[in-house]
Amino acid sequence: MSIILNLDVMLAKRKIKSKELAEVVGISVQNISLLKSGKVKGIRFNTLDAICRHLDCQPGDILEYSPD
Amino acid sequence: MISNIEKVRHISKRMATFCNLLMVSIPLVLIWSWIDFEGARALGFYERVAYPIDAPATLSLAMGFLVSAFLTVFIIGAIYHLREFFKFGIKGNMFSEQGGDAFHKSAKYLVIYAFLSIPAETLIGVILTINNPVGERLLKLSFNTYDLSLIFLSLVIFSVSWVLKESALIAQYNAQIV
Repeated sequence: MSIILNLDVMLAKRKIKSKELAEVVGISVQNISLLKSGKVKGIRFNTLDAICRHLDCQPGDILEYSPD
Repeated sequence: MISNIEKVRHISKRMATFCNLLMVSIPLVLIWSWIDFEGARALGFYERVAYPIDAPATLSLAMGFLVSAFLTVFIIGAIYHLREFFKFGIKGNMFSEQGGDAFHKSAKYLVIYAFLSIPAETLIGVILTINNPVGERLLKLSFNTYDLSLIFLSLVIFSVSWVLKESALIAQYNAQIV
């Protein structure tokens, strides 16, 4: 897919662990792992909102478009 | 108090056992009904099938058995896939893609059985009356409320199974949206 998830990069930049983000966002650690690996079909706006609020970033910092 | 998933597991286990029982008993009843054809008819089996003037010949009985066995394969197929569906229920994931697929296959076999049972009865009647004198051989095609109900019911089950299968696929897709 041409959409790349850079959540792992943002977590490393902010020095936040997946477990902590999962607790704040209200989703499971497994789902955070799936988001980090990009093995998801989509992301809900409220999940994206919670992630951006906690990581103090823009959706564009997490999502990247790369043409195939 | 038993949780819903436990109830599903419990009922699925019983239904899977019942399916096993049917998969053994149906072929046995079929064999018995052709060995003791008169006795089976007295109990209401093959009531609508055309009956010969004299007692049916052994070859006719054997051929009639083969036609019945061919038809029974579809019922056994339906029960086999229904058992597979309930096996997923025992594991607690009845409404998975594989579970929906098993139920859909079961319904498919049931529809085939419902449609084939009508010409199969006609064929058995022809086989049994083939030794009758010329002019007494019967080609009887009967179609009554029972057949109509069976076809209607099987088509309803088939539609429900298709919806279940597609719903399971949608649920699986939605689970990948975080």
